[in-house]
Amino acid sequence: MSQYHDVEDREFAAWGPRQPRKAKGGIKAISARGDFGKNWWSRRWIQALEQITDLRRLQRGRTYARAGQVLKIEEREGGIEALVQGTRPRPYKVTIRLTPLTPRQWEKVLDVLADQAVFAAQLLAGEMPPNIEEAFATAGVNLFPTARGDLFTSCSCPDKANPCKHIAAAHYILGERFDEDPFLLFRMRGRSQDQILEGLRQRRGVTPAVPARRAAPTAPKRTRPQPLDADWEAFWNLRDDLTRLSFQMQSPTIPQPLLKRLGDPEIAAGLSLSAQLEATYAAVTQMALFLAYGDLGGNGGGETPSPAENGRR
Amino acid sequence: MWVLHAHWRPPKRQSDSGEVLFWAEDLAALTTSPATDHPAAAKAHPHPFGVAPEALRQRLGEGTPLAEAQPAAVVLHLPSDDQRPWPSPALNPLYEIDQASTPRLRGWQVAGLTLPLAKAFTILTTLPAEGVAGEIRLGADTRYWQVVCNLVLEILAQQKYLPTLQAPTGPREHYLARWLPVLDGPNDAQRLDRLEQAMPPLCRAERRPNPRGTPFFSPARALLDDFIRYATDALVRTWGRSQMPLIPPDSDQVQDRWLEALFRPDPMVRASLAQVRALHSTLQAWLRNLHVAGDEHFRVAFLLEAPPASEQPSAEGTWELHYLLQSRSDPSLLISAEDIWFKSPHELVQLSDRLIAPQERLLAGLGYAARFFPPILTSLAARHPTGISLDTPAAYRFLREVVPILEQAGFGILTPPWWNQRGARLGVRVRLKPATPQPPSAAPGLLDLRTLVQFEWEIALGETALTREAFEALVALKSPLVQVRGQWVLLDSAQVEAAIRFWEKQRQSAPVTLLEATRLALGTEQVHDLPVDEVQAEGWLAEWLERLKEPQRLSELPPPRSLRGELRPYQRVGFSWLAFFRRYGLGACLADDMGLGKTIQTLALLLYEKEQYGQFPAPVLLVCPTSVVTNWQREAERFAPSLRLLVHQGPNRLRDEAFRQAAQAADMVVTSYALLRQDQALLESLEWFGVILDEAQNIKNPSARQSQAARRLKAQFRLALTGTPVENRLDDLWSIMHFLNPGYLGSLEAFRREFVLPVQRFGNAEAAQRLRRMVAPFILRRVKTDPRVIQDLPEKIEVKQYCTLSEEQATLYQAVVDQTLARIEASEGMQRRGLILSMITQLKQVCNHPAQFLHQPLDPHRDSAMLNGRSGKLNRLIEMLDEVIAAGDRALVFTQFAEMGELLAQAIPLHLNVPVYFLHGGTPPRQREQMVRRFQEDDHSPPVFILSLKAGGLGLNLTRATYVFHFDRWWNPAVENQATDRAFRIGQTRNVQVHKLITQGTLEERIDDLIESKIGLAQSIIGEDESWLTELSNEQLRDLVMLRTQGKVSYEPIS
Repeated sequence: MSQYHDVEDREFAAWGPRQPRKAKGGIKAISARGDFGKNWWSRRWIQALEQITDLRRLQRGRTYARAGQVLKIEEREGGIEALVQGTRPRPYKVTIRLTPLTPRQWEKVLDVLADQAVFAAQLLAGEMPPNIEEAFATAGVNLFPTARGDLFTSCSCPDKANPCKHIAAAHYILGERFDEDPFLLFRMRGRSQDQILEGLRQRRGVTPAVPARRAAPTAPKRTRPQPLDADWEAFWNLRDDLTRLSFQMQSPTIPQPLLKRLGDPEIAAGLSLSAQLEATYAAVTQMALFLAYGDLGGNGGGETPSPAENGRR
Repeated sequence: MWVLHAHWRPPKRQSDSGEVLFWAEDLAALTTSPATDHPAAAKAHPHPFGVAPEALRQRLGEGTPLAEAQPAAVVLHLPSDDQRPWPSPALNPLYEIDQASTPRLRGWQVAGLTLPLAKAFTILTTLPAEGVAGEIRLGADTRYWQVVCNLVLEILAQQKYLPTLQAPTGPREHYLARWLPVLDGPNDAQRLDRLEQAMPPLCRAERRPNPRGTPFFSPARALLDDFIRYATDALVRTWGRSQMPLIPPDSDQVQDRWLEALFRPDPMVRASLAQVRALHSTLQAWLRNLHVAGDEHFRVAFLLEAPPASEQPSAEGTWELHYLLQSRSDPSLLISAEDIWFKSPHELVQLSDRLIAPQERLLAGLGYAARFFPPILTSLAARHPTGISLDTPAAYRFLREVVPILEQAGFGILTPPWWNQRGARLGVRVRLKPATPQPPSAAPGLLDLRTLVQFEWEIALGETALTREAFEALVALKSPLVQVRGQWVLLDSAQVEAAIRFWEKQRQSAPVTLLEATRLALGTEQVHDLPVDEVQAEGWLAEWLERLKEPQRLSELPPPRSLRGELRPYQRVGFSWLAFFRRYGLGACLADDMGLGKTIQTLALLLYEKEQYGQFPAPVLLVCPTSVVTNWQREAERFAPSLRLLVHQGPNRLRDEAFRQAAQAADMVVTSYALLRQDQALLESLEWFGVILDEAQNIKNPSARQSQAARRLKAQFRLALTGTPVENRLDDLWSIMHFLNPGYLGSLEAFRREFVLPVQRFGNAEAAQRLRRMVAPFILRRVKTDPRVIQDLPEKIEVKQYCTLSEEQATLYQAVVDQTLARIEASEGMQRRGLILSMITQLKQVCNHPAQFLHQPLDPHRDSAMLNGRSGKLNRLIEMLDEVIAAGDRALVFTQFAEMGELLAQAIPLHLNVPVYFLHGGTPPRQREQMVRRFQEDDHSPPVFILSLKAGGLGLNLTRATYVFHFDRWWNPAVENQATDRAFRIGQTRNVQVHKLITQGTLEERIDDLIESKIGLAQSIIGEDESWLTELSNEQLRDLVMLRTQGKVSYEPIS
């Protein structure tokens, strides 16, 4: 019986669309349906691929990306290298690279970027400045790949087409990394975040003679040696009157203040961390207040009003 | 006695969570363990006076996680001499080691019970700071981690933590799901700095292995950070588990595996490396904005500057928003954007050595802030943005909408000084009118806190009342920020609406009780959603509130004519203040420092009332500790002989009807707290004119029978006297206030939640201030360093404290007298002289303490029961020292007897929970120097210095002490004065109080009278020593030593 089934399965597999092997432990795309890319710059990146790839391979690539067929993705000089699980047991090796800018081109770009503080400010705040493309254009170069010759892709699969679906899958996953880190695109063009910031700092600086370096003239406090035997009489004593140290022992005015401040992380489509953890945070607050006011003989912690708790009733 | 330590050990592996080792030093073992030389060896020896883990478990384990804790040992490096480690200071003064030699750090193997951090946390937070039952003190390390636990509790209660994924730091480590505390609030950097600096070196005494070099002692900050981090993680993991999100058990989504790992004991995320890395990258990007406002040292700040003032009401003007970096630990250190752009790195280092990448710091902050406030984005088009100009609507939008977001994100905001201040926004002015035009007459009880007063209110901008027309003219400018007479004013829409509602209501007055009016006048609360700016009172109410707020402005009353003695100027103020409260039927608490004359001020009040009335309508009841009943009697006889006194004390005291009749015939009845309990029904059956509680901290426990009994006494006025700083002892405060003015502070439960715990345990300054405002009018406390007091005080005040013998003492005293007198009368010459001197010594020992007379050995377990309640003098001394220590002062205690010194050195730490020094003839000179030096110079020195009179009489300079107690008498004023001068000598800049303890009815009192009278006998015969006593005739001798007492007194233990 079981043998028969095996045969049938294999034959069905041979007739139908060839399914890739189910990948274990692969990276699943955050986007669950529809278009990829949260921000305009990741969408621009994806467009660059979509212009040069046929629709069927793009669709397969999306399915691959969402199913977690991309097993690994790592930065290499000027690009990335990925492993994508296809139909064969051995995953395919995908590389995606961009043409690096020449040092002279970079100098020009940095000249333009240094002219307005907004570029560095937004990049440092984790955003790609909206007018970055114009800035690059002013310097006579492109940031995003536009022409075919700008984007180098390869895959170890037997598919003759390039980009294949494996490349597409890796490309989509890469797009989501761009959302998180706009500097990735610069790295693919040949300059690291530090190099760019350094270049900008030099152009802003008023004292070019002094090499601007990360100003940390004294070692951070935690590594400064602290002898144990400096003051014998203080050895057993609190060295400051801590009774005046103030603690705000109450529930927060707005529940989950930090999650509110940061917003939900884009971990997975439809996942709201603040909703998932609402009860957890409320329970911890309640326990903490109980412990803080607990010596009221049981009626202290319970009566302490907690907005989080009220909200749940 | 034990000293309990908690030693925090951060985990060695990243995936563990660390543990706390509880261990203890044992005083009994310290005093009995042999001092053997331990040559410096590679292996650490066991700590010679550590408590065995099993003993620790037996004592503390019941009902706590310690019952199940694992025994463990660590090597701690402690300051040691050749034989053993130094004991911690709580044990130190009793065990006199030679501290003059320089110790060395040596490793000792310390055994104890170890618990994972989450379990140890519950123990730390529930251990009472004052120790367990007087037998177990908390070491400085334990107290330190208790404070840190408060910070962790705040992080947890306030939800200042985030779920994160921690990258591996070593080759064998993994990605771990961790809850991360985020401390970037306005005061957090300062609080962490203070905690770092306060850490006792003892906490760092374990060497950490170092794979790349020699082992080291962890820096304080690393230990502190680790504790906060691992405790936060461990507790959220444990407490949150019951409410963790629902996760499909077979989910292969990495985020599910991560969420699940946030609640499992093992924080490892069970997913592939690629998945975890991708998640890590996403979470890191998410967390980036957490630090967008700055790093741990500096943050980006915005300073808003208002346009120059104009006289016409207007909303025009250009506001300037400046960009800066602000130091977290010193918020006044501001670095302008100009400096950041144009100063060289060298110049910037001059400003602060903690500036790291200031330009990028500023740019990142501005890039983030620009998302919420487009004008900032506009300003970033410049190469070196330093700020932006705003029109009034934009400035308002910034203040109202953007500031809360940016503050929440950790930015510094410097608003104009008037922002949200009185006068720069709408407020309410309140007028209080007495319901009766007549002030209440001097007749008692006319006014109480339920008296109704008329309450009127109007809307105002600072000083100016606002008519409806003026208000509408301002609103017509349609700007939330307008200038009125050169002052910018916020017309917040919610407040504008509140004001409109207010005018529509029409009714602008209502009756309220005096209690509510008082609370309002003392500066709290809102009226109709508008803050109260000012309270104006009219008529007698104005005078009343004024006086309530500022006792100095009371009109001073002339001292009563019948008072024998002078009132010092501050005492006149105090007496007038008491009379004021008495007149309005309000309970008041006179809390002057010990020695400032609370007794004479109280007696003056009673005499004043008596002169006013001619005759009290009913007697006044004064309740005090047994140990001071005599003192009151003596003081009343001295200062107010016209007061008819009834002392209600002793087994022969009057009962029932006889007492009632005698009481009615008296002006004042003096009794003790013990009898207040015992004769409760009898005392309650009378209507008193007033009830006065002396040493009112005796009713600090609200549920104790004497407290309940005190509250149930019926009286027209109530007065409490205490020398302890009641405002700082909140438990006492509620109980005393509840006796004085029932209901004013609300229920005890509400009071504890609202004030006691926030103020005492969590240091909430706002709650402390609110409470102070509410109670300050009812408490008059002058300290002796108060300039107004100091100028009235002599440099040295000598006070005699009359104490009563306990029943045991009286019996012993009588026995000694009976036995020895007979033998003396039957003997002659040298034998007679010897017997006399021996009897005098024995009687003095009895007066000191029965244990001294009986030569009872010291209890190795330092059990308080052996000493407690047996000596009136000791009870009184402890009571007074309690006040001295509570006020942060230091005291010398002299005794002639080394043995009594031992007893005191044992009793004082037991009752008052402070270490003491004891200097006697056998103290080695080096140690003596060390004690004197520390007492004079060290803030951590024991506050009490016991000296045997012979040893301490000469040469020592102890001017740090401002109190001197003579526990027994030398009979020779010159010798006593020499001793007193240890504190009162060159270098003493403060007033010194000298208290001489005298047992009433004994030879101590008799000899004191002789010395004082300075007539005849005394002057001629009192010599250098006690030998003159041997010259007395049998008659004279009998007269001198005979016990004259009103009756035996039974002592209650000092609690």
